[in-house]
Amino acid sequence: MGLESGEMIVSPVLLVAIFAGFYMAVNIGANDVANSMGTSVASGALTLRKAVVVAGLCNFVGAVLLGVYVTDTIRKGIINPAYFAPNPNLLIYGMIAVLLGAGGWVSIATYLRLPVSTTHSIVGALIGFGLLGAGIQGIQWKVVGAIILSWFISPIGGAGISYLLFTIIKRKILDSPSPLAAAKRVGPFFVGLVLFVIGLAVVYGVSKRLLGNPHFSYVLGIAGAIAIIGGLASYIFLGRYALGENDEYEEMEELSKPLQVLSASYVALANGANDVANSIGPIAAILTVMETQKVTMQVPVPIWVFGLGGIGLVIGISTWGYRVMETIGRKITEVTPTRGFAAEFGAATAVIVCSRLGMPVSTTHASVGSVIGVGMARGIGAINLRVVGRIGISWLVTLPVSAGFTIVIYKVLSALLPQL
Amino acid sequence: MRSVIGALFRKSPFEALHRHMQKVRECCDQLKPLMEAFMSGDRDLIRRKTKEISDLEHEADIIKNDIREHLPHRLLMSVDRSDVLHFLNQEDAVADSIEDIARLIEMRETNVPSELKGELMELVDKVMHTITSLESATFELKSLAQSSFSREEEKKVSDLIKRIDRSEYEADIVQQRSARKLFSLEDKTDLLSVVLLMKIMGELGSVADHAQNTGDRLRGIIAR
Repeated sequence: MGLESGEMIVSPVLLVAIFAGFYMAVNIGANDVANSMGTSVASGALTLRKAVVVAGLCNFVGAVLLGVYVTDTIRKGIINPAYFAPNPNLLIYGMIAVLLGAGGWVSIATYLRLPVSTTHSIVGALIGFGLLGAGIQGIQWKVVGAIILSWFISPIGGAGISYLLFTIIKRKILDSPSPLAAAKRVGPFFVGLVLFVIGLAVVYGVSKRLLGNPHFSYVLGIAGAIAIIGGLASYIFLGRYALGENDEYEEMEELSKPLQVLSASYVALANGANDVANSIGPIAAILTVMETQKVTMQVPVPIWVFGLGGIGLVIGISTWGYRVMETIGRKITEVTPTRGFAAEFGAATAVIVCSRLGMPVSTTHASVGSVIGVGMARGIGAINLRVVGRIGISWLVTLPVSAGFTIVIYKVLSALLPQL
Repeated sequence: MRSVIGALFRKSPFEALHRHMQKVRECCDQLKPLMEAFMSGDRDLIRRKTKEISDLEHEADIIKNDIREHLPHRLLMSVDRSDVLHFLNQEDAVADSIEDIARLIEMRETNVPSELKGELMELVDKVMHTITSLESATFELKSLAQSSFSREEEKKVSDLIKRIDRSEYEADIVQQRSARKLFSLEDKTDLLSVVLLMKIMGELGSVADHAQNTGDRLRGIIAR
């Protein structure tokens, strides 16, 4: 027995896992990019091509630098791996079933043109496999409880942040006698703000990768410096700029477009950080079991796995994601850069905080919550609240269906494949 | 819906409200030519103008129904849904009243006493003031939405609405004066003509009233 025969049986299994995980990543990229960055294309802040480039780049960076927290939750936070110690291969089959089950449900829902959350699918799949493979005690219910709580808190938190941000924009810029002048004064602060949070996230991620443990004060310092330099630069640039549009509001919105490019980058970064785990978390679990022949999952996930997930995201974004964003751009005609900035910033902040806490959340739901937050601050003409109802139904359906698919596939796998 | 965000956004009513106001304005623009035809007794022109007004009023109705159909209850808007619907009702009533005036003029060959012509034209002018003021106020809705209902814009629209109030008040005064003038001529004029002329002046006053009510509803829309 031992490693040799184990490796011979498991390697094709690893390939299947990688393929399934990659397929999930492509689906995630395709689904989520339009919902998080659609407002940037609709408002004209980014052309379709530039949006895809920004989304691809930032998703990849977010995945590689910050994806580790949620990935750890997916690979060992929901299911208690200890229960598979006597038979590690069951964990491997289970994780494959998870990928195939969740991936299957996502595919069917997409084909039926239903909104589906890849995050909820994976979590449902994991719970399904965990219950079957290890029983009720095999699931770490505290973690599951926290995750479900985060599914409520992230859209509400996003709504709150966006509401606050747009209210500030309204009071400081839109309410002023000359919105254009006010935008030139206040805009740099927003630029600094976004650069600060992006800088914080990226520098933190980089230093964690390179140094192991980032010194927070040092990270804060660098992020702060980037924010101040960026803010000053934009202040100088804005001071000179005059576009000559007739309407002062239109000119102010034109000037706000670069700001929305920054918030779009921010939300794409958050998206990558949170969603990559949905595809590579199970792969990471399988790899660890294969490498260590143990289930304890102490070994860190190798960086190429994140890269793999990142590439999957990029492919999904640049193919189907592109097409969906194209229709959005034509469908939504009433979003302006100021509104889009407030919505994207709120969603991104909610998602990135949850990512750091290891909580897998739906970036789509956070985006919907944030748009509603801006709407409540009277920033948007008309919002269809029925979508919230549809999302609620999708929640209730996804968890059991995904779990069900996974259970069926797991039973089939464990019947067909030999148990070592 | 493949993209959730796409389904989340709905068309706001402002652009359609703008179109409705434009249509009502087009209808009102026919009022002066109609009254001039009335006073000159040109029956053919009266018939043609009546048909034009009727058609324009119908087109306004279509826009109004279209707006109503696209305002479901589950819509979160930057303005209140029932405020918009009431506003629309009153604005549509303006066009309805213009059509009523046209019918009153068309249904009978009524002679307008020459002494009354001055007052009548003055009344028409005052009524047109209310309409043009209403138009200016309503056309600011787009800027209001753009600025997310900033204090500056709200004050601007508020001032425009006050102009409608003032014009309506002045129209009232002229309407009273016209009625008194008509009664001073009652010995020279047949009863049916007096009745019809009173009705026509009453409807002209109604146009101004509806315009003022519309402006009032606009106040409600802005405030929220």
